[in-house]
Amino acid sequence: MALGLVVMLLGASVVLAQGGGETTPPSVREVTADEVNAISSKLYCPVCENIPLDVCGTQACARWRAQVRTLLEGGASEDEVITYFVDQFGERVIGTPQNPTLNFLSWSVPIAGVVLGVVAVGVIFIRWRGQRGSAVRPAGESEEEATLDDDYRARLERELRSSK
Amino acid sequence: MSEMQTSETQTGPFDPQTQPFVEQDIPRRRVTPLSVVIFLGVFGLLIVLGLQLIEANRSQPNSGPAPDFTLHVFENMDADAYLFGDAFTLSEHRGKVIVVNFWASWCGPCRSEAPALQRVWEAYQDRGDVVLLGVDYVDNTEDALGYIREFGITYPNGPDLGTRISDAYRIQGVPETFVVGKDGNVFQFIYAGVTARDLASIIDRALAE
Amino acid sequence: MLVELGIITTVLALVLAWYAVLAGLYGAQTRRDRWVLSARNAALLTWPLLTVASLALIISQINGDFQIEYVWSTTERAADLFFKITALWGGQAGSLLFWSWLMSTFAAGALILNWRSERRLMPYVIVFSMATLGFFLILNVLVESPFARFWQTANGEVVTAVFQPVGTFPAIPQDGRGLNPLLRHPGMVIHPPTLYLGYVGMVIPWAFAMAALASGELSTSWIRATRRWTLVAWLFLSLGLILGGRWAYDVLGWGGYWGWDPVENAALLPWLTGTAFLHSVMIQEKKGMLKVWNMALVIISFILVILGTFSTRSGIVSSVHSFAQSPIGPPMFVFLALASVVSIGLWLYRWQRGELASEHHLEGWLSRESLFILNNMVFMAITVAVFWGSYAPIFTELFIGEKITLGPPYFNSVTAPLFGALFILMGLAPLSAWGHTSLSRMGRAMLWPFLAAVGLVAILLIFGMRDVGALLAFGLAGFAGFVTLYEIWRGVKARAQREAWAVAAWKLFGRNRRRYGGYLIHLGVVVIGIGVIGSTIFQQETQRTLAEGQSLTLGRYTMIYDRLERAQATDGRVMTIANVEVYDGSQLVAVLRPRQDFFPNAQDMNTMTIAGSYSTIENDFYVLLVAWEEISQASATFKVYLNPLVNLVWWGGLLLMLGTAVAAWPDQDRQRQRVTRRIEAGEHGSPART
Repeated sequence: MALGLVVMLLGASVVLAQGGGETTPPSVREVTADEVNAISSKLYCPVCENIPLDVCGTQACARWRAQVRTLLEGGASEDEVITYFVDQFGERVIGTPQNPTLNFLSWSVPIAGVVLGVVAVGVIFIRWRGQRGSAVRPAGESEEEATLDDDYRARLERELRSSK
Repeated sequence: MSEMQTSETQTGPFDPQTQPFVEQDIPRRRVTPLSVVIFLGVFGLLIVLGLQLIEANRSQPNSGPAPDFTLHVFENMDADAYLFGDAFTLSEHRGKVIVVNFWASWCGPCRSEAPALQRVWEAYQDRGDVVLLGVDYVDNTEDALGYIREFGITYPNGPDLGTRISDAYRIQGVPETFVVGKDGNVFQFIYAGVTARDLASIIDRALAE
Repeated sequence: MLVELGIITTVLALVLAWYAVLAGLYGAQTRRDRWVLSARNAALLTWPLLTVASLALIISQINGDFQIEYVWSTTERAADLFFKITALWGGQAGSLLFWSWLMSTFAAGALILNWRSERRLMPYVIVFSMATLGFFLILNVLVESPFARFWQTANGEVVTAVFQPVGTFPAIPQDGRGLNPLLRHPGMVIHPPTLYLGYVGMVIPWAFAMAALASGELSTSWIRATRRWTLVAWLFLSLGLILGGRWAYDVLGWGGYWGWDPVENAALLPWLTGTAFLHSVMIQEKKGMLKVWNMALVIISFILVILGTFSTRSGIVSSVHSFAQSPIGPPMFVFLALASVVSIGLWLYRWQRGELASEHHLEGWLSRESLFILNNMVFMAITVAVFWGSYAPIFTELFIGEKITLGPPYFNSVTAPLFGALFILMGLAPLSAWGHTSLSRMGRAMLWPFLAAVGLVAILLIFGMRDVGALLAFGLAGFAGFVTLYEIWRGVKARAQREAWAVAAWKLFGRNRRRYGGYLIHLGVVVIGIGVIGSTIFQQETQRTLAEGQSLTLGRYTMIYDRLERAQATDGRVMTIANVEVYDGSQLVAVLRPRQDFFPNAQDMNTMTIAGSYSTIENDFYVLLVAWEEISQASATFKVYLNPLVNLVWWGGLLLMLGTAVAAWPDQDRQRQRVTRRIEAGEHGSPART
């Protein structure tokens, strides 16, 4: 029956689902609290934003967890439960959006950020290295000196070598 | 490489009178595209935040056109399974006074006002030019149907799928009620619960318009 | 009388702050030092004034002057003295006053400590720090006054106003509403002030940076003051973040310490950019490079602080912690916009004029500089990801019309690889040299730490860990940790030729505070990282309803439900306490009392779930009482978590604090001399001198 409900909400054959619901008794599956929590942890309380459903203490949340249980008992899969909640309460009840556009948008920004960062660093490296020959190289600073620029470190290395 | 001059360390006591203006020695440069991009980016972000601030501070409409919506009405409420019957679209009922009530089964004040709403509906339903609509805001469907049965509600109710209707009306909680006039504009917004008498008088005034 | 005193002192502070802005500006522009001195005195005076104002409010809270709306909304007669005092930051208006007081404390500190050494920057430091203070005081005086009182009109209506409206008389409620229950926790008492200290602390580096930009005094001197103040702010931000996590873990009752909530992120964002700055600033100190970038990081950190304050207090992002929608949104937005445009405008102006150009160029592909630049890139990538995760809902709601939530799945999968990259860099950078390092040299240096990390992974494999992500994460964190330990060990060993090991270690840390303090911070981060990896990937949970005497098992622990009891605390909360026995095998190891507190008088959040937890190095057995049989009390529902390694998060935090204290310990003199000497000697060849 609950599965029928899901099907209906998905806009599938309404009449068939209702007929099915009345003739064959639904098979009720044993559902543990852990299963309910596992799915609820992926959902957010629809009215108190940013509180995962599994840890939300209000009465309304307890009812929504009961709804998760009912759907599971009716044989719905995890995805179906989540889809049901999204249809009912909107994209904001899950941690990453289901809608492909929104989903793409949410991941593309950080990825674009990383790519942009890599490009920027690459450009900076190349430009700074490119200026090496032409530009300011402190007079009298040899390659060796540059390497050992960090005087503390150089001293440390010397002392460690001398200890051998 | 004259720009390097600023890296000079200035020593000695602070003497504002004799300090040279370092800036004057430096040639002015063109504005680079990168800086334009940065500035526009910052502006863009600020504009988005500003828009959101305006949006967040807007309250429920108390006049002007009522946002249109389509409500899929619960039907067959006595059966365990239920159906969505008619889709009720607000704009198709222009010319009637429409009372849109947002409620939820988990909300206490909604329970207190439910009998009043039903009484008002019973008083007006035969006229044909008054419609009462219950919009069920984020609810457990079973509980919602239980609530409708419990209060013997006979006016059409339906779930606010994806909270689209409540978003459009910017409700801050339940219960909240909007009375939409014959012209399709919001006639009155009622924050929190209503009594039968108040609601009836508002409907009468809306009808008289 | 107290109220009037509070109002008068706040208004005076407001006037003085803006006077300091104008006098400082005028003095700097016309080079009249008298005005600058006058501005300084005005700025310093704001501190005693705001101290009096804060004390006036605190005393009203202790006395229970419920005519004051703020006192009414945050205290009640039955509250402990302690919570009556800390109610100062228990609500919007009071915490704004507290914010202003901290701001003026920091400003006074900067003016006194840096007055001589950074004399040239001071006029503008006054201008920018006092403008910030002045803005917050505007909020305090005009928008959300903590001294607003209740008045009753002739027709019985109660109104709220600072001054007595005509024709009204004082309305004095019998008792207050009391502090939000969630805030009645020691962690919550320390967490907001430390976070505010971090936030306010970031204003000072910004003020120095802006002073440098405004005065054109862009030599490395501003960076000295800025670095130290940033370290102070960073210390408090870190502490605030860790305490916030601890508070969430103890009180919010969801088995975790970090939920990527918008308010948590608001505090994390400036921490990330601040950390990036503390690294990249070293390149500027050593090589005179990245001047544009360092300036940008200071400005971004400040803007993120203001943005975080704005967005969490104005209700534009919703969150567990949000203050309700409040009238301070629009004025805060104006300040945010002004601060951003002025800061970025000035920065771009100096940049375009070429005043922020590098004195040096990259010498080698593989060097300390290049690794630090990569480090900054990764920190910025994390910042972008966290920023987007917090603010994406605004964008999608505005442009697509659908509100979304980005939760842990988003944050964990985006940031995990980036944090992994940071661990690699954390392992490589200490081994690299400034200027140029050859691959073979690096390879030799990292051989032992690398082998140790491989060994760690092998051991984990042998002990049956099969999670590839976890193995990789532990391996990377281990690598960074081993490098740090190896470096410390080498330092001690070099000294130990001459002195005893303990003395060698003590002196090593004492004489090279920045370097080895930094290593301690790295170790702290590694330890936190291991804790986070363990408690995130290997957390187990189960929920069961138990009758008295029944038990459940999770991991190696067995828990027996004994009985339920009721109690009432002095502040009126009704506690339902479950007694459970925890067995490790057959050995009774703990009796836990998880409970639920119900606050009959509280407004909205009226229940609080407090966990009972049995803590060992290995893990926490964390029990929540979720529900119980109201009448018979015969059965109760428990949610039980096994959080492996979670304690390392707190211990790593302590290590991080210790390291920061070592690094920030004032021994700046030698450091300063060295830098000056180096620049004077033209060691890095400023072309202006060649």
